[in-house]
Amino acid sequence: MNNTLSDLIDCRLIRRFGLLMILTVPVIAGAQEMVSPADSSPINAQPSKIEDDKKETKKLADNFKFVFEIGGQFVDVNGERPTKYEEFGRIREGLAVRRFRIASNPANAPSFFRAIGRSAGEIDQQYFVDFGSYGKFRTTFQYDGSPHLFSEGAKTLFTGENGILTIDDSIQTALQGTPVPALPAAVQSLYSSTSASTISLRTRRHTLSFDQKVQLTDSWSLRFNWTRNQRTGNAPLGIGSYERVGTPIGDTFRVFSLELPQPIDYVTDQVTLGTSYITRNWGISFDYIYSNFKNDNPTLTFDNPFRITDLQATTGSGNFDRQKFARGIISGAPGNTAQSVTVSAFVDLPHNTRAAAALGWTVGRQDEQFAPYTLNSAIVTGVPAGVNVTSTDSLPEQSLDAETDIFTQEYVIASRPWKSWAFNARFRRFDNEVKTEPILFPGYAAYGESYWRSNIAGVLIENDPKSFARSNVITEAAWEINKVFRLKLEYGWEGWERHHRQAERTNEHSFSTQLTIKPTAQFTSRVNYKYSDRTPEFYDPGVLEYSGLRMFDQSARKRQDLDWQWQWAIRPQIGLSGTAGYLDDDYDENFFGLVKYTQWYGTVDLMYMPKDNMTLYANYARENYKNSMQTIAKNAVPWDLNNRWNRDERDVLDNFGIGITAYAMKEKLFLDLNYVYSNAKTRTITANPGTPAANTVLSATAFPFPDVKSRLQEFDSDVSYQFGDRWGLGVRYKYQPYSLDDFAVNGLSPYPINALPAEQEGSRFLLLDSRYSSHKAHLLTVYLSIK
Amino acid sequence: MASTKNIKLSFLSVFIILLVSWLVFGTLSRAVSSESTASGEEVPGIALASIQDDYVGSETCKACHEGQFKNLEKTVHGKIAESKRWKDKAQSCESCHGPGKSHVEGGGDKTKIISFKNRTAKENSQSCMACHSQTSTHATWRGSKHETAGLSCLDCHSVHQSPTTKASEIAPFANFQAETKLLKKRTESETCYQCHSDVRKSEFQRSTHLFKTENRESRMTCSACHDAHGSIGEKLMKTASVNETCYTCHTEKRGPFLWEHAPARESCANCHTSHGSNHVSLLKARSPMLCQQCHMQGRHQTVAGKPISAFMKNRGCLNCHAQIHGSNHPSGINLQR
Repeated sequence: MNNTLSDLIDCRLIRRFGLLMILTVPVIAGAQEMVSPADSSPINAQPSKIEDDKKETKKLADNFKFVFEIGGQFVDVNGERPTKYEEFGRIREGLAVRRFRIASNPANAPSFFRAIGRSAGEIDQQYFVDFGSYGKFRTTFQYDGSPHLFSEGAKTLFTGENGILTIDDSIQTALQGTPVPALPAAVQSLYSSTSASTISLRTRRHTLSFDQKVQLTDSWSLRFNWTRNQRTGNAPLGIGSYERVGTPIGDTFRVFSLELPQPIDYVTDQVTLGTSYITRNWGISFDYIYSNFKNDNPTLTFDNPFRITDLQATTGSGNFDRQKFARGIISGAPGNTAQSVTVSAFVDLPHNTRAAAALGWTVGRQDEQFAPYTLNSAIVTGVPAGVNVTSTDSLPEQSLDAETDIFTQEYVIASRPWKSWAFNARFRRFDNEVKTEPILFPGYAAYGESYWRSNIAGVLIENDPKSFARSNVITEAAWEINKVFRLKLEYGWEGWERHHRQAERTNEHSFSTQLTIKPTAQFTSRVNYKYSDRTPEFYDPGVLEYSGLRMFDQSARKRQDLDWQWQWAIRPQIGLSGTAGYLDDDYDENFFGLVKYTQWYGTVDLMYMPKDNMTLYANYARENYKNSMQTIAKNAVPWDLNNRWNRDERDVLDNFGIGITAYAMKEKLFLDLNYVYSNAKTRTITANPGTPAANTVLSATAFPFPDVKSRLQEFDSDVSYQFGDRWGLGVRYKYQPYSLDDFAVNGLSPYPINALPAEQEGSRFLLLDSRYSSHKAHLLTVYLSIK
Repeated sequence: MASTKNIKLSFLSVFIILLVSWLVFGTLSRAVSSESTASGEEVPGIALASIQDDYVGSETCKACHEGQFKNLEKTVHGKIAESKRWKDKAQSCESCHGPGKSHVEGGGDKTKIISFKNRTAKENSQSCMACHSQTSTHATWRGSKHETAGLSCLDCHSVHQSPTTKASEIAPFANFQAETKLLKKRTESETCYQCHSDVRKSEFQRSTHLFKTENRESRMTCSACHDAHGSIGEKLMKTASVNETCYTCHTEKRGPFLWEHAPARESCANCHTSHGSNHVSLLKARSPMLCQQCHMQGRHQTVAGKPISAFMKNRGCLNCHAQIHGSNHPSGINLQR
């Protein structure tokens, strides 16, 4: 980061920001003149006005209240890899300013001020400063630090910075010279030596924003926002290929897979300027947004631990002996910009009708320098004359010079011609037009960067501009039959137009109805039912996938969607509510791919307030959803229908929560107890409808899958007591047991040789072991609050 | 897809039509609006400011309704009358409840004051819109999903004082966003869960957008993505499409890329669920099962089973096809680099 704005949100500065806030906010607040920019000109300022403003500022200054919470924290976490406990926060032992609030909200003045801070000095700290004068202006500053911890205790042989990851040459030399059968032992010994380091895989998102709203007149307002979003750290990134290995039962596949700690250094700046002129009968708004994304590591160069020298795949076909590069290069997210202009307006017409429209135009650009085809200089076979695969000079273009124009349109007519009737008609269109010129490449470095390939199944290596447009029409009529019944009917149409996809056009018609019943002021029930039918006008499966496959986002689908919401205030102190829903997507079962998706859920919420100062609550939710697909395994005879296999994946989730919030002893004693239980299970069932071809590596014979289970429980209690007007003492205890049983990560290690079947010996797997496992965590906080 | 020229022309023509509509109908609608008010539709507050003699002032209200008055006076509704711009327009309690003279003279006759308890959603919202229709954030309310579902402002907002504001005197670290919006519930998410309680469970799922602060509040609020008052997007998304909303924070996915993964470009929701998931990275199903719904490449050993296959371990397909959202590498056609 070279610019000063980046320096502004440098981590070290942010850590001290909390203290600065505490010291400076009262000073700023006291000095803040509560005048709007429109009134601030000395020419316009009248003596009485200045006097009024001074009075208002004094009222604000006289009403400041301060609250600080300082706490000591004790943590005890058990578990092999308890990363999940700190996935989005930082829980550490010691003394800290937990929270503070400085606020003034005088009852007899339109001005207000509040500054709030949380977890000051921690990596998940938050600050919020908000002040203004109602009817005039509002200014908001906000900082939010959100970490995302992927894994503690990950292991790697890589070191490096600035987008270059290296491994000691001696390791590469040794592994290159090691025969395949001896690789597991060789690599395992490396991981137990000092060559491997233990790292945290974590990113941090810093969001700093400034927001200004000014009301110039009753009708005219201005708004400005600047937001900087910075992400730093590292995240796991996979790189791999597979290799064909001949066996007596056919070619088997051996995976090569590396996992890299990808350095992340992203910055996004977004500026929004807007203005609105709105009267009671018409209004118009204009917004301009500029967004710039910058990636300081547009490429990632890395060493191949298994090679010190480059080599081309050894057979002419390029099918065997892959991943022979000594160094590889990956492209990260390219820097890009987007600018958008939106104009929206409405006008009230006769017969209680409003017409509204919003038009938007966004231009997105990307022109990041391309990386070379490969860094493997040994690739020569099939490479066209004059092409140097390791040099960017040989590329047909140096960058994509991409442009995407997005046009959005929305038109709405909302009419209430009679007291009990409402009619709405809405048209939306989202037109994503790719204006980038296609680039025809002579080929690419394939098979783990070990071989040159000039086409894929006869298709040349050329990027397709995948433009698309989506249009919607919704018309609805709502009738308030009487005070009890309300009925809404809706017809909708959605059309997609796509370039370079299987279905260039799809149409979906939908009919829906909503019935609201409110027999008393205490009970409301609302039921929705929607039926929709989507059909592609034509589906071209192309040559890269089986002709019998239909991709679910473009294929024919019949959908039924039913949901029910109800709320019942049994008594003023007791509230009961719930929801239930059922969704069914039916795809054409004559084809392969996703054939059915179903989802249902039910929830119940109870709230009971036996006294004004006590609230008891409980809630339960159950959700169940299932994907059903049918597919086929490719065998020696391609797409042999005997090799069909079906799979159902079903997820079930139960969630239960209960708690109490209470104040007692004239609001001196505060109690907050909460318990949550969340249990999830994924069951995968695979079956063969026929008898699959046997004795081949690619046999479709169904294998059983273990269930995947996760369970989170959380008990959280907070008790505090206020001594006099200024001092308070509180204790918080939190207990969180979490369990995870997932075959994809169980037993995962940097080198999972023992977890793989013999035919996939996994001799060249180097994973980061990035994961979390079950844990039990206890957190005890004792805090002092000062007002 | 329409050509750029056509789109620009449609832009221009629609803008002109809108402008003409505004000029022609603006005057008409003002006349119609006045008529409807005069014909008896109840729009208290500033619309009725002409009958000043019927107003009694908030101090009179306070005499009997001290509790409500104390609650109100620290909210925007209580304070706005102190603003110079609103001083002559806002009538404090009577801005919403209408002139109180008859009510007072009737000894507190409940039938002679506007009460919101027994009015329809439309009538309640109409009262709020008497002032709030002139803000850009509420201009899209009419015809919005929530409005057409028969909801009123009072289903989510508490005009006198939100529980959060009250709690701020006692527990000063309650949700600061909810505090300024006068929400009915302590937090924004709890307000939305009144109807959308099926979303609450997402807070505790294996991957979630609704991760929380130490106060058990979602750090990402519902309003980070949705605009409850209406928007140009579906499902009340703040922007015109799902992806535009996601790119607000996930700008690195915005591209455009040299090699696009078309379903990802068209809608993030093809593979991800937005609130919470039992699977990593908010995926709708785990990999490779999710990928297999669209891909049947025979050369991958992800066939019918073998949970210990290398293709099933760790991130499944994404072990190798890590650039699943798009690649900008000349050799990245298979989204591996």
